[in-house]
Amino acid sequence: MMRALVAAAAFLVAVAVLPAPLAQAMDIQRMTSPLGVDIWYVREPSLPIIAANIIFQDAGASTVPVEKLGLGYLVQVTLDEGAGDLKSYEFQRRLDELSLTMDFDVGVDTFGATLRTLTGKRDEAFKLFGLALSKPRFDDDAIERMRAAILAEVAQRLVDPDDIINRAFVANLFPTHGYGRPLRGVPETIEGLTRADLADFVKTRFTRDKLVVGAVGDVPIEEIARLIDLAVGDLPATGTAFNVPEVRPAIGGDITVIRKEIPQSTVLIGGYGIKRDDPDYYTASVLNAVLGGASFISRLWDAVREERGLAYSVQTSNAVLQHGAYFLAYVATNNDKVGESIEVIRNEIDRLLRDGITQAELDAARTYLIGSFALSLDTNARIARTLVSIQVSNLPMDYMEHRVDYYNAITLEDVRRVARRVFLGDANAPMGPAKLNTVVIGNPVNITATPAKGG
Amino acid sequence: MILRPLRVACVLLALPALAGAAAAQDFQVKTAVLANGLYVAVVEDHRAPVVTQMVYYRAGSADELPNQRGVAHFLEHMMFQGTSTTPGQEFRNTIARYGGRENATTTADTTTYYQTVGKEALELVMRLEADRMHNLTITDKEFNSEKEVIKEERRNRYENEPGGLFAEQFSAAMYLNHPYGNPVIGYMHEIEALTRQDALDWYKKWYVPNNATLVIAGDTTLAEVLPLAQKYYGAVPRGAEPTRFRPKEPPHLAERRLFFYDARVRQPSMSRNYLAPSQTARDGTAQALTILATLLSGSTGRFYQELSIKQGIAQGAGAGYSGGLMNETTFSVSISPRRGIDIDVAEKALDAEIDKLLRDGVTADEVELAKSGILDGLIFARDNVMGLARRVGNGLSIGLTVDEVTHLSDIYKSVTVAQVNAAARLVFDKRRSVTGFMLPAPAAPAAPALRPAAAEVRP
Repeated sequence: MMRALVAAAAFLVAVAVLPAPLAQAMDIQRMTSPLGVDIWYVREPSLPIIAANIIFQDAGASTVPVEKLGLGYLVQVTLDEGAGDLKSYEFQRRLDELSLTMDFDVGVDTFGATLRTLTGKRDEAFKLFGLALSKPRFDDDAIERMRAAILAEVAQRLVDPDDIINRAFVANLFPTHGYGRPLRGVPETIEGLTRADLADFVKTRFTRDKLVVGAVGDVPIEEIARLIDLAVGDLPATGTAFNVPEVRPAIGGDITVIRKEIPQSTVLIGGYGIKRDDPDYYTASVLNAVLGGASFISRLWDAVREERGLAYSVQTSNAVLQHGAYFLAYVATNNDKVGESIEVIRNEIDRLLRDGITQAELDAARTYLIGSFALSLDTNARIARTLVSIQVSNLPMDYMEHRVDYYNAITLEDVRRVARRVFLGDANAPMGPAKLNTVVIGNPVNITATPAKGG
Repeated sequence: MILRPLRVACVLLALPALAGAAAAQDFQVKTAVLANGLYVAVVEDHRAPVVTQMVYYRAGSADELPNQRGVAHFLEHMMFQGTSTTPGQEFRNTIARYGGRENATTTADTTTYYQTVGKEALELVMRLEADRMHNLTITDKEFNSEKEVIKEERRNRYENEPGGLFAEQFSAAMYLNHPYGNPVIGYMHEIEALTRQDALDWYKKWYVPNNATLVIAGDTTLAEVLPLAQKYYGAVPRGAEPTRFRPKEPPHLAERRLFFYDARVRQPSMSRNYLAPSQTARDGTAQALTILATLLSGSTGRFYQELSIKQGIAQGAGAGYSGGLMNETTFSVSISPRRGIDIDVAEKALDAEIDKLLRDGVTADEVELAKSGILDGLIFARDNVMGLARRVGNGLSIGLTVDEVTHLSDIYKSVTVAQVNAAARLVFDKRRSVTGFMLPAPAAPAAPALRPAAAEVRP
């Protein structure tokens, strides 16, 4: 159940004539299951649906050694290819009969699983979910079928410009860290993965000590606890600690051009980011919203699209990972406008560094960030995911009620300071042009790459 | 103020007494019509204090004249450039200030504008949307700047994407006479040729309340919405009734085959579209085709089980059907071969499956499993009120009634095995099909190294 909160008075001043923006809190319940699993839950009685999101922390692609790149992804696509006594077809058939949606998703930091079932079919659904997590079969024929599918997908990605630039970009920012490697692997490593690798991945990572759970449903929380125990009861209590190191992006100010005969170039610009557990995280969100994150009201939207018609889409983000963060700007534009587009973006960033933002921009970004978060909690599945992400970020249960206070405390001076951290790398760095790495794919006119750093 | 509740609205009000009776609604919609012809529909969902407003205009790219192709989508862009009372970017700025989400979509049949906001901003978004229904201004400067943006959008979706270029050629070959074959965004030379006057003419002709449907979904009621609709949308004068003219397809007598080569294609694939009736045929064929596509697709579907698991020929194989169009739509099948398997072998194997299906028919077990999945899907759909609003808005815009949009589960339950087989025989006629192959260019360059050795890479 969700409840509206009374919006803080400060907003009413900020947007005088307009009604107060929505601030909203969910009525989060919490209990420890009989097996000791910490469960966060929102009860939503109006729909006969249960949605659960679980993730295993310290279990993502960055925990895999470089010679086994793509292991997490092969596990992801093979997990629903049979478990326990059920072979591939029987398992899939059972999913169909139960109308059960079970999705697995390997990220760089975590391995996630979501389940959505009708309440009336919940027991069978959670049992099947648990079987996939604790007793996947990994039959040889299923592994080979999935390996072939991934090799075909990766072969296509190797020549897809969007994919090439994404891989080049993360490799450029994180040359020696797991974050810089392709999550789906490369043909050589995918060819070498074995059934033992898959079994080991599951045994060391799908463990109760790494588990985070969020759920939404129309039954009491005690019933959810019973169902979760049904699903995770057969998992080992503890797994392996992988100790993925902290990392900062390697920002050297270089420009990389990947030549391709395509009419439109894609440009990615990278800088330092602000992590989720950093006290400046909220200020970084404001900074990003004003520059290019809140697309329609951002400076880059105006400068690149509205004033000059240079691009259909221009976006920035403060990309947050468990052990690091980076700033990212994206634009796709005609080859002969690449130079102008990069210059406009760099000028806007330098202006932000030099002059900061205005009070009106700070107010608009604040209400945008507060409101858009509340509006994104519009389905049971999304609420379940949010319950998990609050826990992963080590935030308190009443975090949503305090979000408003965090944003209201931000000053214009905070934004200037964080702009220096993001675009110069340090709050005390001497003022100068922004430090940014640029990667372009396409056939841009008048763009010169900086000499290779080697390696 | 003249509000004429429709027959449907009355039926709905009576419904609670019928709960549990045979005619079950998938979800509830309440409706009314304003004096100026604007159709109003409300879908309630009180889980969160949030509302979505959607305005559907019954005008899409298939309503364009040959000398103004791309104008429906172009005007959609111009609708964000300000009105005589709310100039410039004020619309977007205001909604963003609330953290609201908003955008617009143009399809062959409709142009849709939508916003999701906290419920206290409902009146605000209704005022703004009603305003741009009749007060839009378009300057030359804005028009010309937006033209460049739209050309970039086109490059992004088509010129830069082999899949986009293939899909465009594929659709063009599907229709002999109907404009569904044209790209919604327009071809590059057509976008280039559009003028500010074309956009204004389009706006004047189609953007009238009597050619629109307002759908409000979320934490509100028809009783709350109606006075606001009357206050803001009621002030927009009724316009001349625009007539949609849709050319009919002549008999399709010749199967068509396309071969598209591109150096960026690594995985060869074959797709085939068959001409098929849409939901507006109203005879249950659309639902039978949805069941057919479902039982052919997915991991347990016939195509994957037979062609991939048993025969080891296919990397992937499936079928698809989208019935939500006004005029004749398509039923599609597709296959991509495993490495080392020739695309022709894959096509023959797929054809053999279709022949077998036509000869032996589908089984009762297959139909029951597909039906139960679709019926449960209608319950899951209630978790997404914006999805329900979209179904109502699109359904009404292509000529369906509220009853037809909200009683799908009854229709699905009634579909028989014989009806699914009849639908299969109706669509699987190669003369009414286009088969398209997306293939690697014969002289494809080698894949580039994963990480560039030097900063400048030429493949």
